[in-house]
Amino acid sequence: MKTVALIGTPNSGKTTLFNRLTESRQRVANVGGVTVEGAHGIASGTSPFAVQDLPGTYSLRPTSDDERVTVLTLLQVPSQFDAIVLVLDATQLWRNLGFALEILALKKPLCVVLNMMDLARKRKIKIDVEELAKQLQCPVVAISAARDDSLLPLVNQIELTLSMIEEGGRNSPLHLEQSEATPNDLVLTRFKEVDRIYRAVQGGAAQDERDEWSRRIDRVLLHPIFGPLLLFSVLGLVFQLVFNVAQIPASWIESGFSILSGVVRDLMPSGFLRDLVTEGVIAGVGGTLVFLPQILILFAAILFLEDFGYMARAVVILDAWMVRVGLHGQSFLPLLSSFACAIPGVMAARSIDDRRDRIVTILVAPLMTCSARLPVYALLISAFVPNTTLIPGVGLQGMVMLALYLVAIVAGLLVGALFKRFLLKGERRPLLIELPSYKMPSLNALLAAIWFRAKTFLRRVTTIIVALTVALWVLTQFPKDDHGEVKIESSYAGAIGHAIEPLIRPLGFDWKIGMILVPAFAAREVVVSALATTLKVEDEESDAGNQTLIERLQKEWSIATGLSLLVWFIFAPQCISTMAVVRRETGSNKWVIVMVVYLFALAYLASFVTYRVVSFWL
Amino acid sequence: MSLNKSLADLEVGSRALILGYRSPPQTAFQLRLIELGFLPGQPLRVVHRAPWSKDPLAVELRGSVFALRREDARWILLLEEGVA
Repeated sequence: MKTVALIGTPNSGKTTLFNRLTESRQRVANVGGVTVEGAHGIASGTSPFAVQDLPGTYSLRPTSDDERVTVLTLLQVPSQFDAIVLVLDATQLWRNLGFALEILALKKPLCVVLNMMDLARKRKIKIDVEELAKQLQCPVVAISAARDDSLLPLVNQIELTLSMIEEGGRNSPLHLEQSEATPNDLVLTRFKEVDRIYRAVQGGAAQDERDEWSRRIDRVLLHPIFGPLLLFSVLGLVFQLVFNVAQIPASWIESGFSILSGVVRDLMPSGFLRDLVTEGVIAGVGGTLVFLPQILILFAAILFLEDFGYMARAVVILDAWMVRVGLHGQSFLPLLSSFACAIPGVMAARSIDDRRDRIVTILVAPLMTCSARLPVYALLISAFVPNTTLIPGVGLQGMVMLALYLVAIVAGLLVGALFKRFLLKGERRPLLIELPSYKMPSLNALLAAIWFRAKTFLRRVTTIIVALTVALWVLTQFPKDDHGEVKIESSYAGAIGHAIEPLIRPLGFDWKIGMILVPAFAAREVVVSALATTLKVEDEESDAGNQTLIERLQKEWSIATGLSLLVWFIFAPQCISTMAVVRRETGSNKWVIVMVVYLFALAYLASFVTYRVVSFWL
Repeated sequence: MSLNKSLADLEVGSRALILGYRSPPQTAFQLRLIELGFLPGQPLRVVHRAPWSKDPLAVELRGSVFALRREDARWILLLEEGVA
């Protein structure tokens, strides 16, 4: 099968086009740095072809690791693709033409896509597509990847381009401009050509005006005073949504699983297997799935803001502060992704130009509150923070949640500053980020992205989390005593808990928490189901079977212990997948060890202080 | 008008033309600015500056907005519009 490489400048709608062509639902965003690894998909047509989506770049002179991926892929011989599909933003044609000329000079089979035609028309931008094709001497197809019903004209054109390629084309040597001129002169010469072509293809005046709407919105969102205030209000609103709205579907899921558990209990003969299914698997999966609505709402909000174009503004607003502590505004994007999950966050750090900045960002990424912490936070907050209303619409619980996020952010900045100061010294790097025009995100793209998130979460729940939950449950069931009974305290899991209890007692944790912290090291989501499992197992000994998990927690531990545990979860390294990714991205165990050690130290210190202070006051 | 007026000195809302650069482009960052269209003769406008520190600033140039820091913006020399 023949392959095309999909390239374009950041924000040119390349990833949207990739999704439309391949029907694979991949992340799309209005901010650069989303396409971290070249995604691959198959486009179906009369003769199917493969599409490789490459990270966006403004030129063939890369300034970051992800741009380097694109440039190296393009310049490799023999190449991994047969033709290039170059996406140009019709509303940014002048700037995009510079890159187009650079690509044209490679003399590879090329098909140019003029994207965002709907926006261009709306802004009365007129482009003579035929003339553009004549000037560039290659086929040009004008589309709107986000709005067009059918992309058939483009698919047909790509098929046609591919059909004309001779065998062995991948081995043909590259045409690189051999010139004595300085890079600066090359760019200047190129832009002279750009000006000429641009004059030939554009009709009407005022082509380079920014759209009035973005200008107006920016006047508010980037306002010196309202800008930062709005940024914090938006974050506060999102967390209120996460807490208040998500409770409704969460309660459906909860009752669904208790019904399911009842049905299974009636259907299966009593015994080890039945207990394993109801108390291990169903309790484990149910306990984690209850938080799916919260995670999806948070994701929906982040995705909406990203696609809308707000996140680049947030970078600008926050850069002033991040610079003061020695970090870089560019770290904001990876760190922001880390609020969903540290793994894409660590990978997105590739878009950072400087290696030291990149490593610092990777090191603090796990401090950003990922969605896997939400279940744990939600449970512990519900159990240990009173549900009082501060002012109408703003509850104490929601505010504590916000505080947990803020503490993590502040800690991340401080730790980053310390690393930058002592371990990874270096000069400050320039900031350069495009603030894209605001766009109303398309509902379809948003839903697709949310569904992709849901699928990722479900896959994790049904594999690693079920496995850990079941393993822990089994460990709580053995060894049986002479009567075939087991006391949790004398089970294998209990023994592990007792073994580490001396270590964690200063934090207010007992052996039962110790029992949970062990599987939590591999995946923190497991905590909720682990709590459910261990407390339920214990319940059978007492007769408190009808209490909810929250009531059990309140009975089991003091507020000081609960809050100490909550603080532990801000800092403790509890995700084996993150560690694996950090190892891969930094290429050594060194940084993994640094990360794990500093996170454990922070968690221990913070929990210790919290426990002492709260015990003193209450 | 001083010849040393740079992008870092431009107030929010002011327009200017790019005159040239303080030094020949050397860093990847400076070349990237040129590739993005920060070319002599191009008109630009500062649309945002952070409060207090005035850093970073956002510059509108041919329909796009780019944010950069003051110390990096100092490299770009300007000719204030109306003077030329």
